[in-house]
Amino acid sequence: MPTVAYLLLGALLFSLGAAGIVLRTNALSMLIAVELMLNAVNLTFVAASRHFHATDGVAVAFFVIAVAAAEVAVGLAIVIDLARRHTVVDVDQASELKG
Amino acid sequence: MQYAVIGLPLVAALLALLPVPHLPRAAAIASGVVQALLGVALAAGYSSPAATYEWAGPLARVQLQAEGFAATLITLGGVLGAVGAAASRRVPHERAYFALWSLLQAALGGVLLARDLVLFFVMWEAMLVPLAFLMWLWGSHDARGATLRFLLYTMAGSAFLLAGIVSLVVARESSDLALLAARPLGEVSQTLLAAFFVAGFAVKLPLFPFHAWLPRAYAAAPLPVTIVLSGIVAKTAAYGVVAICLPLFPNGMARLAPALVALAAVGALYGAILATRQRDLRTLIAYASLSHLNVIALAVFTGTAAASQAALVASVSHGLEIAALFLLAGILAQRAGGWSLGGLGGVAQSAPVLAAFTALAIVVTIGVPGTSGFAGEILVLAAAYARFPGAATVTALVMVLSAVYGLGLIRRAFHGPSLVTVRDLDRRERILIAPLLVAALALGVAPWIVSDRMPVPPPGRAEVAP
Amino acid sequence: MVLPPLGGAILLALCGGALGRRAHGIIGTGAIALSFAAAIAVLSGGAPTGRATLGPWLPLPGGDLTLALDKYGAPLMLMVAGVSALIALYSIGYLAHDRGTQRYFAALDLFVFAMLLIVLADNLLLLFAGWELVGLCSYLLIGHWRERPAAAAAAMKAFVVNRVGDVAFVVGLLAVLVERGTLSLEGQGAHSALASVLLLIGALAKSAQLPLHIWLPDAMEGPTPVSALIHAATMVTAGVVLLLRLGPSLSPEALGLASVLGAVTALGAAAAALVQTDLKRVLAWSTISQIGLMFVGAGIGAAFAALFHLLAHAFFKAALFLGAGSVMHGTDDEQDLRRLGGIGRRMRWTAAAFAAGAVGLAALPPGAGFFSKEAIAAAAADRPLLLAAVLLTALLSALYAARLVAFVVLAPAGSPQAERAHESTPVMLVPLAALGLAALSFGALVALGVIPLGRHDAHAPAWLAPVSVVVALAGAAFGLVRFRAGPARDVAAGPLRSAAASGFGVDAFLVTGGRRTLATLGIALESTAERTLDAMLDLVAVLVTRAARLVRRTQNGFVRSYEALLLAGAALLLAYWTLGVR
Repeated sequence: MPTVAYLLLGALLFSLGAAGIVLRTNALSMLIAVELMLNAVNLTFVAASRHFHATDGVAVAFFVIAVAAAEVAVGLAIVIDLARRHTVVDVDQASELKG
Repeated sequence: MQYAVIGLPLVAALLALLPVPHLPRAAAIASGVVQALLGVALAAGYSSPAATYEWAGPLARVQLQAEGFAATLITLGGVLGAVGAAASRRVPHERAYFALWSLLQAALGGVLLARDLVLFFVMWEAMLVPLAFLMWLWGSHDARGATLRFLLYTMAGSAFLLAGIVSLVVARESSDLALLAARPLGEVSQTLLAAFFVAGFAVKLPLFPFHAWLPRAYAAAPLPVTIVLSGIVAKTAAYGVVAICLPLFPNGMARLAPALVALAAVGALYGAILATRQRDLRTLIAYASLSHLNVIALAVFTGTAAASQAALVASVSHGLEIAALFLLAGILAQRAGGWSLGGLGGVAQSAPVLAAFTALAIVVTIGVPGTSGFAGEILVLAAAYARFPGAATVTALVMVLSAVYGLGLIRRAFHGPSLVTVRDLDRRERILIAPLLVAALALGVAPWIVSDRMPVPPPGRAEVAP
Repeated sequence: MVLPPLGGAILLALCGGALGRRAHGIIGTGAIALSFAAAIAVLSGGAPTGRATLGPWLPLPGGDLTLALDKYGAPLMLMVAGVSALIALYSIGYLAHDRGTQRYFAALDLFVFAMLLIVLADNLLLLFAGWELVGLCSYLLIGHWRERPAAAAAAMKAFVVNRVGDVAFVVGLLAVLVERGTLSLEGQGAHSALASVLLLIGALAKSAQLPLHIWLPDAMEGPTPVSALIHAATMVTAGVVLLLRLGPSLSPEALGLASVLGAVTALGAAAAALVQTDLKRVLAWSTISQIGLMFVGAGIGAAFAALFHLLAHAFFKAALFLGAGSVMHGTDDEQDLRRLGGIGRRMRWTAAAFAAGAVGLAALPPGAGFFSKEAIAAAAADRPLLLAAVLLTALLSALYAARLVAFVVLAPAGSPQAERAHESTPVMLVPLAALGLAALSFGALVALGVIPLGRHDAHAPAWLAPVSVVVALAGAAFGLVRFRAGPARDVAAGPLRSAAASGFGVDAFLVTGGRRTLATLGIALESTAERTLDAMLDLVAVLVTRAARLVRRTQNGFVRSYEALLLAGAALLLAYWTLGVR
């Protein structure tokens, strides 16, 4: 399959994820969208790696997976804290850090 | 030796933090006196070689050197610092006060010694910090507002100054003053940059119409701080023009000169007119000071060597006379129960020595020959007249107005039937103020003591004729 | 020889408090007398024409401390030192009960020093130093009794009006510097019209000529010896001295202006003198008038005549003032002419000296005034308008001089104080007598050549001398006859009289005008300019806060807005990199 298809799919997934984080108000949904973006990026890296017959992209994909795991852990911790405070995990209501 | 000029006040600042009674003030006075002596030595030509210490790469070097103009101002700064510290008795939280005071002295020394543009700017801004604290925390009722305005206005000007410095340094890839003077820019760039630099100095001078911060600041700040602010901090702006703008942008300054000189002339007259209307001692002296500072501005913007020399003499004279005036006014206000002139009358009968001292200070201020005030004034007028006779003539009118407000002050406060009884000057006060007046008289009879620090090449035909 | 008075002043200022009142007087007078002795010593050793330099002063070309003796220096020096010494001696008696003798004699000595500077300075700058210093001393001395508001006000007025002239002087000085490159007075070339007129304006203020004469009548608030010295013999003559010393270098416009203004002033002031009711004010206006005549002389180039009249006037006017002081001292400070009288019988010596001075003033022979006024008239002989003014002034002068003598000496006593008048102490009488004698004899001595004064311009028409004598005699006779009975037969009241009495309104006009202009300007500036500039300052603050508030809206706490911004920024960067980089 032409590499372009993979790139297009990656771009599509990335846009869907970006739209997701802006449009969704539920924190968990935002986390899922972020995961979507990260995986789209992974797909792009691996496709590029295959296209250029190099291993650099794959290596980066490993890093991204690791970072995504860490980020999910921290993110879920924040979501639990938010849930404790506001009952409903709505991002729009958690706007106390303003100024 | 130059390092001592900055280092000593820093030591005094540290000493001030120790909880030893009387030490803070004594340290401040001592460091002021030594600073003055160092200034004299520098003016006489003794200085350690200008050691260079690279601070931020080739762009910012700690290079300290001072000659003529700067050295004389260092002396003045030391004297006023010592006098102001001596006059600051019984201030609350004196450790903090004198620590800040000495920091201010150190920054003053730094501004006058810096041979590098970036270092100059750092010191320039460094002056503001202790000054602002002193004004805000120890000032009188309007302290907060006055300090804010002062800071805001000054920093707005400094923003322009910084922009100018940065562009110049980037264009020439050096911030060394000597180097920059040797390679001037094209005329248009010069004019533009000169305008930026002048904007920064104009607020501090203060050049009319950028003086709006002055009356409130002088009235709100504690008296010794006002003395230092008016007597020496304003002069650093004049120094900035003479030592930086004029050598670096000769053509640009020449293009800007007519407008700047006109503003200064108007400012001198403006300050004098408003001074005649004041009914409060502090604001009267503040406007009088504004008038004289604009005369100094007139000199620095005229741009000739003779004019810079005149500016130096006038600066020293103004520092001495304003210190004496404010001190005497402070004593009078304290004993008569207020700064308002309306509450005074006939004080000469109960306090003849105070009257005599004040009369002498006023005589110096209005420029009677034999005093430094006259020496400064006439030299400025002579230098300005050669290039801008119109502006010089307008400025000469200030002589009449200064007589009106000066003698008016004496009349309202000291002459006439005795309305208020005031305790006369005691010995300590006489010892504090007399040297200022004696120096003013000495400088009036022998102004060459100061003017020789900035020798003017003998005029060829071109010097005198425009 | 200028130094002793300076030393005296400093000594008195610093340690005078410790010494007694008598010591003040002795030091003060002694210092001036020393000066006089030094002057005589220098001159009797042959008249030196050299210059002596004490050292550098201001870093301007010609701005050294140099003194020189030009052809006017010798007589002026002697007169200043001599008359000052006599007046200082007189002061000891006059101020015998005064508390402020330390201040008085210190200022007096400083004054003499400054006046000598004016006479002997070799450059315009040093001359100006003396010029302003006499103004300062005049301020100090007029306001000597500083508890009196009137005195304090008069002192300030004198200084401020003088300052106006000084501004013109300074600008003229600067013009000279620029035009000729030096301020030195040796070997002067011609000055430009601008510089000359400016210097003239300075002279007008110092010598109380139109329109800057307004300070002199009020200056009579000061002690009478001060009026005698400063406002008759020395300071007010400084303007004439300036004109004389600069003489031929001044432009013809300035000289012409000087003579015209002098003539107008002389006439107007004489008229005013005739209708004053205060003893000292008559003398003040008279001084203004006489100096006007000196200006006429100087303006038409008759330097000798002007100098002669200056010296003669110094003697007879000082005699008159000191006599007036003696009268006041003896009548418990009565100054109103309508309440004086009968002094001739009760204070013989004073009356004699007073009359001697009046003779000089009226220009009756053999008084000094006769010969000197004669000289001026002679010089003006070929200018009919000026000559008419001079002669008319002479007539008026004789009139008011006679009126003075009549009211004070001859008329019956007009008040209890006058009746109880007692003669003054010898300390006061001796100088008085000396000056009275000088008033009578000086003129003749000069005319006869006993005192060498310079060339006598001797081309007067033959009819001038007899006409002058007739004019003076007529005026004096008429005055004595009419006013002998006392104030009842004074000049008739009416609009002309009140106009003249107030100096034809010039004083009120200038002072009120000046004050109003200053006040209006001040108020206008205060309300507009200061407010606008304050607003400018606030503008800076407002701008900054508005901008800050704008930016602050991005910190709203909404995560989604942050995200949106983030993505937008990233998209922009991406676009720049892929599209912008070529």
